[in-house]
Amino acid sequence: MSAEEGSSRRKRKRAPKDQPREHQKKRSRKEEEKITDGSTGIPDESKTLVSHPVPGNGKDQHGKEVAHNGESKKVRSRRHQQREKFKKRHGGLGSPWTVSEPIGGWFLPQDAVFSMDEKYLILAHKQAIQIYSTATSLLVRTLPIPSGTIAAYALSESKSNSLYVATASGRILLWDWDTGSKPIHWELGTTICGIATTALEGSPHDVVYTHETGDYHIINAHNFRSGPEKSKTELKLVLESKTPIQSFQVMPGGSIIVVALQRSIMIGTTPKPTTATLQDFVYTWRECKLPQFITAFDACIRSGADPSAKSSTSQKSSSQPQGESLDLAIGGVDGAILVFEDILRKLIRIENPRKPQTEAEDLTPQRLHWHREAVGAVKWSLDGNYVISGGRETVLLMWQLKTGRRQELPHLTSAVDSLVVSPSGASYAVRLADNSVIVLSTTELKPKTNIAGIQSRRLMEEDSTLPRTKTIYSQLEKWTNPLSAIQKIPVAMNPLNPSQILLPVPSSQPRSEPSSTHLPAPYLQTFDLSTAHHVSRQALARNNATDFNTAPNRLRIREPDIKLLQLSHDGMWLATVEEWIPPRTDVQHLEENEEYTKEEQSLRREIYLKFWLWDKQREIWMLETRIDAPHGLPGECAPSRVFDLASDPNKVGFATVGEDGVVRIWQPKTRMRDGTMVRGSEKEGLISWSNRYSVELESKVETLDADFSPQSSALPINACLAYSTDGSVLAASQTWPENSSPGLVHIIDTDIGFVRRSMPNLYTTGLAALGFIGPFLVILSDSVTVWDLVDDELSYSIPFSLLNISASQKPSLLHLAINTIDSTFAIAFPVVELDGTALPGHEVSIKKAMSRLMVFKPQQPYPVWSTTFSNLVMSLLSARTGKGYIALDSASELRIISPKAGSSIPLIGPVAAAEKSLAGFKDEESEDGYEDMDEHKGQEDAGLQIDSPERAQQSVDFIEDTENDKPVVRPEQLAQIFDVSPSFALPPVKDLFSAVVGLYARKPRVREVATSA
Amino acid sequence: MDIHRSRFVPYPPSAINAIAFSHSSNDQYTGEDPSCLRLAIGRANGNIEIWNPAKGTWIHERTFSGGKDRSVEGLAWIQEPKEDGAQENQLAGQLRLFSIGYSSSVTEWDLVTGLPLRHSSGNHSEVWCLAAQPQWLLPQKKKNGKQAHSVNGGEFRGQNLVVGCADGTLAILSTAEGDLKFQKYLARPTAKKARVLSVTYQNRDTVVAGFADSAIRVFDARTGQVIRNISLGAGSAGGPKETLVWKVKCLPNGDIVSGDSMGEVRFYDGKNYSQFQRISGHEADILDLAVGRDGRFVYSGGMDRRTTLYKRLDASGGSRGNGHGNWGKVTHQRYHDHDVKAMATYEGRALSVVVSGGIDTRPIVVPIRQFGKEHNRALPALPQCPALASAPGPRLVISWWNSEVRVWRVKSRTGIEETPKVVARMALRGEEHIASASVSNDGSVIAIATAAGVKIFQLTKRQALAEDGLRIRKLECPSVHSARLVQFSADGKWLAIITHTQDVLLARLTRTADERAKIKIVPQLVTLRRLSRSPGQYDSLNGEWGNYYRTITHAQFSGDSNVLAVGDLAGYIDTWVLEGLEDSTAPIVDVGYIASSSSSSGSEESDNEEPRVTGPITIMGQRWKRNPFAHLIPKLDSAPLVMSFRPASLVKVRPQPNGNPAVHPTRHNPHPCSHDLPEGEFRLVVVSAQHQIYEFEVLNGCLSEWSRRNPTSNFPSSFKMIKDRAKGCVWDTHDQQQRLWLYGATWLFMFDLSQDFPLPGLTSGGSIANQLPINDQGRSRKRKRELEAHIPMNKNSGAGDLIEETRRLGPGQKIRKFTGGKADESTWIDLNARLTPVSEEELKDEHISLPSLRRALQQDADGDTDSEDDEHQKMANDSEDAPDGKDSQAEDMKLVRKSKKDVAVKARGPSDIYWHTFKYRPILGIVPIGDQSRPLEVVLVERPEWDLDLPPRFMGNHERNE
Repeated sequence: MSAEEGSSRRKRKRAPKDQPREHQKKRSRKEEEKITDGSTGIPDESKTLVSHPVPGNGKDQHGKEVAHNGESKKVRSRRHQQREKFKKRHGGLGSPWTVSEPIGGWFLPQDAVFSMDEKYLILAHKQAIQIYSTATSLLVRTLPIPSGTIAAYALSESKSNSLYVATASGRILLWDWDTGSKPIHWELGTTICGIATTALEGSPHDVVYTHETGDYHIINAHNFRSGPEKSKTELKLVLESKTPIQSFQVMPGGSIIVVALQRSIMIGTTPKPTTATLQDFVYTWRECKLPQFITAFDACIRSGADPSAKSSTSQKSSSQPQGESLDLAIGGVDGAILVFEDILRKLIRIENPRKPQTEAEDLTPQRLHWHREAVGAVKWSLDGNYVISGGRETVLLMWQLKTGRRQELPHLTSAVDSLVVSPSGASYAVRLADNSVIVLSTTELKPKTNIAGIQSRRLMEEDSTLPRTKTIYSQLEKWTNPLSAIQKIPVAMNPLNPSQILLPVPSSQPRSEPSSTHLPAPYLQTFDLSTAHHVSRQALARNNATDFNTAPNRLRIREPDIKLLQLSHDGMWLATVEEWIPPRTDVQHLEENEEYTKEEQSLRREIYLKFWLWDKQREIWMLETRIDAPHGLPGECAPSRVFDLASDPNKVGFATVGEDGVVRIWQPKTRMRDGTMVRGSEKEGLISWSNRYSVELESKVETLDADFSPQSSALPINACLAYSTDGSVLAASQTWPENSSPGLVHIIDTDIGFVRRSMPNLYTTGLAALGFIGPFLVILSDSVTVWDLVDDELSYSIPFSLLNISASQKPSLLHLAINTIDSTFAIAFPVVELDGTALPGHEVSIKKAMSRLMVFKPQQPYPVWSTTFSNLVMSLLSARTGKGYIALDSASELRIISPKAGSSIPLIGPVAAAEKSLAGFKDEESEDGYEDMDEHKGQEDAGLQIDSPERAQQSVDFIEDTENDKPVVRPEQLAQIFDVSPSFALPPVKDLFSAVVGLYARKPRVREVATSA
Repeated sequence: MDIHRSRFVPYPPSAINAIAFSHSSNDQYTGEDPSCLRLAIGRANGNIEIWNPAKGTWIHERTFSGGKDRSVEGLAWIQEPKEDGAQENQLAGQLRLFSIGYSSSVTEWDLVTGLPLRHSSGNHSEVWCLAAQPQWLLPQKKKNGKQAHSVNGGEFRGQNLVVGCADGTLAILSTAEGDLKFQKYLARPTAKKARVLSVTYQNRDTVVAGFADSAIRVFDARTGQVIRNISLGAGSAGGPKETLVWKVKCLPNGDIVSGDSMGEVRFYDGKNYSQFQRISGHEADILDLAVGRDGRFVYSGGMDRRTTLYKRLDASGGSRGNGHGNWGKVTHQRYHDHDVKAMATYEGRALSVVVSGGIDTRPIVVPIRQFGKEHNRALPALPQCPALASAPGPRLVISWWNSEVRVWRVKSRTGIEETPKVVARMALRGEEHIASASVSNDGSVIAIATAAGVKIFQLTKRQALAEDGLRIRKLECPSVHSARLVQFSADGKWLAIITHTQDVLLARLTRTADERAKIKIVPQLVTLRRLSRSPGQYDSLNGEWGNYYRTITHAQFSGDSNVLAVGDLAGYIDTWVLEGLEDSTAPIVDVGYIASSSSSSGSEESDNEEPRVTGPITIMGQRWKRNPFAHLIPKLDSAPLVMSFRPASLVKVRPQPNGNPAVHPTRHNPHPCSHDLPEGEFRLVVVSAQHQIYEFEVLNGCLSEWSRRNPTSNFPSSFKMIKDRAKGCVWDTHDQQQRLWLYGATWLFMFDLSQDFPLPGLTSGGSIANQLPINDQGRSRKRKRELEAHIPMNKNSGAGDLIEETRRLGPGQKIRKFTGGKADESTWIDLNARLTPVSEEELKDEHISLPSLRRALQQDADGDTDSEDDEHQKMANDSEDAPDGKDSQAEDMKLVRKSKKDVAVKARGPSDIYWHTFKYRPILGIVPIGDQSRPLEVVLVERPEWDLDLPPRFMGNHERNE
């Protein structure tokens, strides 16, 4: 039995008791539902967990005293006491915890969809369709799917407000995205990869084409009917192929389908389908091979108005209307775009060799080669005169075919992943590889809309249909164990605005990049949790997103990686540690022996500690001090790694610990020159940072074992730091690769920079994190140890071991977060199943990786609550102002874990009301939409005592106007009250009055944490 | 073999300024490509090279050498109209070649002599461009009945020339009656004096010219009226004001294309002269355009090194566009390392190529019809005849270019590397460039041929200086009007001089024992006559005005100087022998009339004797006479590229008369002469332009045994695959070896002539006799292989080989079609197979059985199949195992890698029948040096591209200087 089940059973037992208390709260019922939902949703996962040793003390809760062989009797009795204590207090704490819906996440690697009027842009995450307003870049509606993950979606061609959504598990949902009403769905039972629709002439229904995978890649045509006609739902196989279909495009009218296989293109034609039955959908396919792997393609039908040509070429093949030509633009992996004009007619003519010895039909395409690497996206302009393309070079290219000229829009923030021309041709929606979508106006090429998700490093599931052959080899490390590539993402929460988090992000994560590479993250992203809105992005280290990014040896230049990041307690200072290691190939020539290459690399690495000051005017972080090589090994000139960075919770100051075994405390100092203060332009005193104290920790204890090579044992593999809550002491500890670590934790007095005490044997190996909760010191290593510093005794220690994870990987895979408000701490650890053996030299791949999160109290030797995430947790931090934690996972999704009662971070939902047409919202927007929304926001912020100026700054589209505190009432809301029935049948005036008052005096709408399915 | 890999010879590069095909590709030509199709390449040093495309072989046939400060800036061919009288066997009109170069005159070249024939003159300034009128066509080809005016008999049917000059003048030069005369002005200099940069004929009566003042003007050639003035508009902002129209061309449908200094190609309607499209295909100036025959393709080349291809997009009857065709840029590529200055197209039945050239001196052949499916091909930039000679004894190497000669002494490699020293340098007076030079084996005399005559210099050691430096003395020369080729005999006593009029003259040098004494040259020259052959088929190069094909390209003395062989472009080889013994007491020159001496020679010879009979000239008791078996030597399949006598294996010393010559003049025989024919084997190895290697026994007039056993079809496939033609050869006969080192511009091959090549059918070891029964099998395999390996070569459109599927531009060669969902039952259709079906005739059966039979006979005669031989067989077979395509490429690699060990060791190893390397390139020439009795030592001169002294080139926006 797992802890999970135990906790849920306990909760159920307690439920009747808790119910009346929570009844006063408004959302309680819903949440209760949610939580039971959540706990019942988990069991199948927890079953898989049983096989893994997890903190195994859940059993103790139920009174079954099981003697744990490793534990001393003393500990057990102490724990017993604590449990008794807990039982006394549990009323205040016992409320179960909840996990919020994911925030952020990557947009599906599919072309964005414009609504027909171009006012909305339909994007999708794995779990929900999101509708953004193009005018304001705001999320207006989310359509979460009940289960599964979204694979593809397409707008219906017959009804512009219907959206077909296909889930990977084979369910097709038909949604009215305008009103967001409940979807109709059909089950196909296959794995769907892609979807497209077309409307037949004279038919009110769509024909839906799905791309299904299995043993074969199949394209099916469906005739979905609902309601009384449900029986008429038909299916017709259109194409079956052994080679993987990469993507397909159905031309309007459905008479032509273009399918891209890996290295060939297929064009299917059928005589114009007129009837509503699908049996006429027999396509004639023509396939021709291409010299390159296809990465992107687009087809376009152009109708020419040349009657003479029409009459002269009376082709028998009526499948293609006269005067229309099918033009193809195909982007290849080598960066060339091949443009085939009128390809269908040429192919047909080749087949009918009526004049065998006449001029050979010329299939030679136009070749547009500018991209150095694989073409990311290619599209025709609506008139067919331009080809628009984008790729890794962060440049959008517009090729004017007739003149051979090329227009460039350089310096987009990231590689172009997909590109859509809006229905009227007035704008392009460009999805960039940093998880953002921009809408550019076609005429000025100015961005109109900017939508961005969390851009943190992600681990992708392999997409097999995309060619992996790259033209330029990325020179990032390849790991034999994919887990080694996973590193913690240092995330910090802004103390001034607890809904904002700061995290380092890579410049670009294109889909062509294999996920096994570790992308360096030189940028800082600021993201607002409560609105799920990207706030800003700033470069912290040298980056090559828009530069020429290959070295003379044709390898990609590696960017520095932000390893650590901390904010000072007042939110004014940001400290970052960045690291850059020269690539292997640059140092390989220095040493003959492969073994020493690593050493040569480390000798030449560059490590900087940077201190940034928040510039309020310009709203960016300004670099104030850069410390080169903050830690250095004695006797060597090479910089040593910085293992941990901690921020003083009470005054401005940071502490670092490095590979050299020294803890350095950094503090600001007013810059003086000749005894006078150096002042900046605004007369403010300039500040520089310097090392106040350096405290040497113990070096490696000499072992009697002579076998240890001094080289490897001299350096610790990890070290951790933690400030106590009042900042008076700093705990530091380091660990060595061998199992002989003494488990010393040093307590340093920060005022005098001196080691006050050293406590041995607090842990044995695998130190991962340290933390203080009041008097308790939490040590996360191969056990969870809580030490009471005041009583100087062990509170408890729960050993746990992890499968498939080595000690050296632990520091980057185990997470500890401490919330001082409710005195809890949370740990997160991965549960990994691997493919292949973990022996050195063997390629292993992650079969399944999940994360488990547990919340503990320092007094209780068992988790208060635990849950499982389907993705790996990459970062865990506590909510600063309230209870709860925030977890960032490998799919770049953020989840808020909070006690049911007091969620610390409010989540603000989409602007549009549910079950309402967006039209009303739309009307308003034209007149006072901006102001309205801003008011709305400001109001919400005020209600939550969140620093509103900060919040208002976050979105560039907003006009600052925070004084207007009145709640906003939309006309349709009033209409809802008054237009329910004819005037004679209106409800009593009192009811009407209270309803109106309710509107005007209501609390700001807060997104329900649990949305009903 | 010891190779001095040398780059010290400063052979200067000479940019290609003009390229022209002799037959325009947009005439209504439907049949086979004319055999007289030639390509003229004009270079900046005034040389004009005549290339023979020869179905994609590309042979550099001749060079018309230029002179000091001359340059070829433009070339134009015209073909005289066909003779009207003989309608049945239409005599093809003569081809005439015209060139311009920084002067006000147009030069016509005599294709037979290779000398300027006449110059036009006119009262205009420098000529910048010229164009030839399109050929006159039979009017009945026009279907719509307005042919009334065109059938007047007095109409001029030739092709006039139009020239554009620096001051804006346009003049028409008449080529009527085989002359070149100024006819009239089309345009007089304007006030602006805008240069005429390019000119072309739109049709026979309309001239289109591009000017430097951003205008294109259209003139009526009959009246001189300006029909239209097309302005290109202002140049780009920030750039120069005027757009230079570097090139105008006309499409077959009359539309005009222009390429300008903005890097744009513009298309104009041919009727109303309005621009309908402009495409920017270059980053810098477009310097030349080339138009395909059917008007579907346009190539442009420019200063940014690009060659850009444009295609008419709706050429196949598409639906869009406005009737003019919608042009689109297909792609661009950088074939050249520097500016592309000139381009020319020819599209025939087999050949379909664009040839482009520029400052990097290499002509590049790009396919048109097969664009994207075939590779481009770079033709060698260095001349076909190596401008290099050596005197092996004193270790001298001479090289020449323009009007300079330089002599180096190459020290033998003993320890310290020493750069060769220049021991003499000469700059000839006079304008003419050196056509050929030769040095005697002892290094004492140098002969230099120019269009003005022959100059002979004696080199003697300088007394003052210890070793370096040679004293040059000019010798009295016999007066020869012009000379194209000079060649010393091995003993240095005879000098063969080939004149521009194809006369073979021999000069006798007499020397005394004293080295320093002046060498005297017998003023009387011996004139040798070639066998007169049937003139062959008359075509545009062979008519009553002369026979281009009889141009002598090679002259070679045998090793003992007793036999002289010359070869001409038609493939005829003429040989003469020296009869009699040298008699120092005999009168130096003895001219007599024909006595009974000619009775020994064959009767048919006297039949062919030309009427003008001059007496044989006896010099010192010796006289030259035609080889009695000369007529038996067959005509080669093509022009010889390399002719060389195989050094005699066993040197028979001719008995020297002991001071007393055998013959004395008597009354009846006042001019006595010994009729002894030289003895010994005279085996002449000839490599023809088709890369067929023959060895003739000259004095027997037949193929040698080795050559019979080893026809070229038996040669290793790695040799047969080579595209660059052979340039020369070196013999290695040291230590009983019989090795022929044959080289081309990019390759070096060794053949051991003492061994036989393995039969191509044989793949396993074993004696040849054993292999005989399964020979049939072998042949079938061979055929199969040929199907795979050689068909692509046959389909070659004149440029490089086929590009492998994965790197081709555009879709692959196969498409498939199926209906319904399932793709499995459908089959792929091969586009290529449909377009050009492979005819069975193309797969010629090579002579396989014959050589094997011969060998078997020989082996029977030898009576033993020694095991060593078997081993050779095996070795060779090992390397022969994979004869086709890629495998042999890999094989090459392997061989090259093997060669890295040690060339010298390799060469000494007894087992290899052949060996080759591609590591030296481009090779200017290889000459032997050092004592003949020692192992072969050669000087190999390379002229790599990066060594060329080229002007700075255009750098594009995003280029990095690497």
